[in-house]
Amino acid sequence: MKRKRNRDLTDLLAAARAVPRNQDDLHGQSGRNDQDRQNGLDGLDGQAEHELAAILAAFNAAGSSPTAKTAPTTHTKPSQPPRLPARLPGRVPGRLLVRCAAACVLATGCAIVAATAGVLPSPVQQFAHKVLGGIGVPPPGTPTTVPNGGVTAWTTPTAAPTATPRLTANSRRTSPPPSPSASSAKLTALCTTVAEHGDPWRNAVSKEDRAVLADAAGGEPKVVAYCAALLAHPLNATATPSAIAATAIAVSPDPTEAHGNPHPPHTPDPHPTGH
Amino acid sequence: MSGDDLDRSLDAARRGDEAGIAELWRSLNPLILRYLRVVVDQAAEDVASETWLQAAREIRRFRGDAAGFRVWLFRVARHRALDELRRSGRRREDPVGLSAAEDRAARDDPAGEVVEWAATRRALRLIAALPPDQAEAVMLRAVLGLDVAQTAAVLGKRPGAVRIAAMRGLRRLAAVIEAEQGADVERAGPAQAVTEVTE
Repeated sequence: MKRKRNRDLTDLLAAARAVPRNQDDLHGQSGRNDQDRQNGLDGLDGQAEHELAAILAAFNAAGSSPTAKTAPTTHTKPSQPPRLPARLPGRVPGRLLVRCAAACVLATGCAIVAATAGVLPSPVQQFAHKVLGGIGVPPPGTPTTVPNGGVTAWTTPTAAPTATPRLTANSRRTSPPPSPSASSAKLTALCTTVAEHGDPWRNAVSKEDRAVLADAAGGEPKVVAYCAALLAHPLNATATPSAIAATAIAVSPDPTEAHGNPHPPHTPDPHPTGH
Repeated sequence: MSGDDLDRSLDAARRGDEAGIAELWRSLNPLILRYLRVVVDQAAEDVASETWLQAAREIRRFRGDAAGFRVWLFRVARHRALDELRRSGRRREDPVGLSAAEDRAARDDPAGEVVEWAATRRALRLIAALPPDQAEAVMLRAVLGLDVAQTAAVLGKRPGAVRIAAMRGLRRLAAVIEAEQGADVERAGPAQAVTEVTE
């Protein structure tokens, strides 16, 4: 009798352990090829795919945050991890929050990169590199320098490393960037339009704006080159292309600054609310 | 996925490789979901998503091996589950539920899958009906395969308390199974009862 009781219990626990064939419950444990494995989205149904994409977006965003790149090298108490916003009354599905978080991460990533790190989203950076590659504007995905104290940044679409600026011997040669003004903001906006349209940019801007661009660049034929340089180094809106390029060359990249310590000496607290 | 594979995936994730965390998610998310179904029932998938978002943000700072990561991940899942229970102001009001999964099985409707899932569902239903501390101890120890120390770390209890909770939970489960079968035998009649007893 006791043996039967044990057998029943064992069977029950085995049933609880059983991996169901239902794909929804597995969330992605189906067969997959190497290419799919690399993409991380293989063999998943749409829902699981969205979920993993959101997780990867959060993962990448965390990798480009200041705390991840410049983790402390001494033993410190881990800071409280960021939390998802509390649910609204009426219960917003967590999965919806996950997707919104992913969209926000992706949408703000580019803006943060351009605004704080001085580098641009890949397509624009590619444009800048195409036009001014010969004078030091790097392609997307390579370390580049910005005229804000020698901080190295990586020009990937979602990366926004904001490592603490540290002056290097080379960076001391750079002069402080001019303060952005209303006109420089306008020039940046116009140049973004130029970058988006390429050669037929004249059709995309008004006559007055063409004149503004031509004045800034020193002639309409130089507008594309000027804009490429400006977008590569947005804080130098008032400088000429050659001056911008000279600034870029004067600062040598130091990739280690942007990466920080990859293995900080603590384990994250699983609960930010102190359970 | 073996422990070595998990270690490799963990290292890759810590280096910033997306494939690493994707592999960890593939391997461990089914276990996390299974555990959360017992703790928060139908909110399991939402809570699992929150768990992985936190893990994705913090994994670069994690130090330890894959076994340690698994413990840490379950701790995160448990705390997120407690948050969820607090938000919704309940504690497993519908432990029998699991209706979302049931709907899925019914929708797909391959006979074998339904039978298989029915057994799993019954098992999880019985475990979820245990007192909460026993249910968690049984799930982590007997179902998900964590050892006593790991389970204690997840639950924030002493190993002795975990052992007792798991033992009581298993005993109670056995009694419940016996009672269920007794009821079935009574319904089936005396002949069936004799067969059961002499088996």
